[in-house]
Amino acid sequence: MRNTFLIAQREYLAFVRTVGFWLSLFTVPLLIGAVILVPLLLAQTSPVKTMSVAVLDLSGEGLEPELRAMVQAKADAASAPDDALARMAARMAHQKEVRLVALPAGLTPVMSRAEAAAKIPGLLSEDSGKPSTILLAYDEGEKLHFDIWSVPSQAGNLKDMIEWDLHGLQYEKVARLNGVDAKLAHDMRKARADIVSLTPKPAAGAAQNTQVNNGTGFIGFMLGFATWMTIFSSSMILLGGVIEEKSSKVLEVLLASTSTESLLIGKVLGVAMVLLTVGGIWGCASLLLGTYGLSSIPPQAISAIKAAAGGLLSPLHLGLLAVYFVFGYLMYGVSFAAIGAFCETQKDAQAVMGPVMMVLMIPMLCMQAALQVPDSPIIRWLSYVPIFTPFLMPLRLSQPLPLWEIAVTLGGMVIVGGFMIVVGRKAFKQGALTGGKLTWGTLFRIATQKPAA
Amino acid sequence: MADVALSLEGVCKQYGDFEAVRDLSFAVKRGTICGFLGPNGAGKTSSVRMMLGLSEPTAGQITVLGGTAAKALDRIGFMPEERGLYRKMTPVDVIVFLAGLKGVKASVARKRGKEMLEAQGLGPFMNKQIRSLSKGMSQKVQLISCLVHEPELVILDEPFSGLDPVNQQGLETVIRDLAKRGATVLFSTHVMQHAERLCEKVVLLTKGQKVFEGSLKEARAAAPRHLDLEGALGAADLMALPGVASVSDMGATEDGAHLWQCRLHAGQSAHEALKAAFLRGLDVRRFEAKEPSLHEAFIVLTGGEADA
Repeated sequence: MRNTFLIAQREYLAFVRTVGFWLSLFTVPLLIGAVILVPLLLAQTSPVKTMSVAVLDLSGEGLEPELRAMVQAKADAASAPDDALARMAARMAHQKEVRLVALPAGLTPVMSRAEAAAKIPGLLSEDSGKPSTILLAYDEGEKLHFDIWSVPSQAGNLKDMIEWDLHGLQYEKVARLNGVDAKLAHDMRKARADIVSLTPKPAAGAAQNTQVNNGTGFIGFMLGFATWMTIFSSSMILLGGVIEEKSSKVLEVLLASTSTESLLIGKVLGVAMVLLTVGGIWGCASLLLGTYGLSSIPPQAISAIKAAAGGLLSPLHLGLLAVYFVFGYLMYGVSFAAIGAFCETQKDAQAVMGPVMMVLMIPMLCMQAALQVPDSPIIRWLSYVPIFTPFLMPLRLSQPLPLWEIAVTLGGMVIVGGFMIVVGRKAFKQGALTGGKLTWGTLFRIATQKPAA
Repeated sequence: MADVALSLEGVCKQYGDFEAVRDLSFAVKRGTICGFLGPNGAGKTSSVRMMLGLSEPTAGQITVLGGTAAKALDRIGFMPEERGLYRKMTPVDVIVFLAGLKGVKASVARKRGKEMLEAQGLGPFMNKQIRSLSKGMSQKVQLISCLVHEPELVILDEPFSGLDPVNQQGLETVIRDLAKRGATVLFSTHVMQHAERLCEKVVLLTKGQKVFEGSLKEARAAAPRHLDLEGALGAADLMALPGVASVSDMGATEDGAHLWQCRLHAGQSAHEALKAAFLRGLDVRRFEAKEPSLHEAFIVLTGGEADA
């Protein structure tokens, strides 16, 4: 125990004393934070320009009240105090407030389209009280036409906001022209079905909202991806550390001073401590950023995130995630350390790691596919393969799973993981003391080696 | 058995079809210096690794300080043939770390380590990274690392390799001091001069088998003595002397005589041959009876395959 702690401590200090560690520790969250926060900050700090909209109806169909109502609805949504999500979306999308203004002098509903088109460019302005956007409606035969004039900085904004409403006006007109009662045509245009996308919950058989379902799937993907990244990067740290010790001939001295178990567990613990340090610092940074970020996120968005997270943050789920992670880390950590013991240089390691990496990429590719089809049979079957279980089960746990599947995957992982740890321990010792290369034959001999008499 | 620090009984080590060590048995008394000799590839390192519990013997039993190597690790100091230290650590830190693995408190190890580094002339370098030290300095740090916990048994695998004559001399002093304070020292080497100067006992290994175990005197007795004779002598006269196995003409001397080296049969004394030479009236102007060196004994005992 004493030696395990000493080795873990040395491993930890050796890593955290490097410049690279501190650089990566701070640059990664800074980059991620920048990617997330910069658009938010820009959205919040950029001066919000007002889109002043005037409506000129030359259609002769009396569309002006309807058109003004459309614009007013968007203006109301962008400033509605009780619809923060819509307000934020509107502000991030356009960074503008919308308001209706009166037609400027020189424009009248009785002028021709050509006259209006000649005057409008000289009337557009970003100055307060003057229109920055003018919506011009006119009629040619059976078709309504809308010209949206705006200052260059607002080009296309109003079109994006009310395009489908304008199409609706045309739809209403065609209905009316074809004999449909005017009120009925109007009601038909306004009518909207209530559409909710649902998918069944695999275990409970009940339905759940697809947005929530997609959200939990995404969180599952993130958990699987994080597990893969963490196990892979920590195993690579172990591999590098062992190669360094092997090449500098320290391993034999260490093995003559302590047991193989102490040495291996100490190394694994040391790297785990490095992970905890990184996790702790990144966690604190996330908390700080999150606290700041939460104030910018509308309550509806937070509710949506909570709904998506659902039961993912329950103690049982977190416990299962921890078990899958610990076994995965032990399995791969010990295996990578054993590989390192057979390598004198990084080049040696690359030759061995090639096939290992190809195998490790399988769950990674599957996780990406799982974003589209979370319950794909391939992913389910691959999650039963113990070497993939630690990566795919966090992903699958985002959906309710029958208990037997959890038991089977845990059992398989414990058995195969235990075997890998036992063989890895033997291989580590043999590799540390010999100059041989790691081959399948060597592994087979080590696995089938009987204890000495 | 209480006075035995290390004993091997019928120890064998097999790597696949290759038998690295065969039926090796010997014991080393506490407080003695034992040379573990043998040509390259004789099985010394394999044996040392089994003594330390780094590898299991295929057969046989090893007792270290009254028990298994695993239980005695804290009381053993080991310096491997291939030296290795953490290159980015300072000598003091690496000594404290390795002593910690042997159960020495950090404060004690730091104090002892600094004293030993000073004694070895490494005071100015104790806080520099090991990668900045010369090979000789690194070897001294390695030696201190293996001795700082004041082990009862010190196993040194080829400790003199790579050292210049001054440092070799220094290491010999260290080994003698260890024995004086009661530690048992076993060191492997294929350079006989060190063993000759240090050891009370030697174990000679060749092709994985022990070919000799005993004192230096007993080892030398296994090799033939020499009798150098100078004078107007003929090979036939010398070959006729009792106990002479062969003669070699070493060249003419200034007065026209010749220097002959007579190799005697094993166990044969030079006294009889010399007496016979005088009784027969041979023209012997100068004579010298020479004891065989350990090097010669080594060559004889290993069947002449040594590369030392």
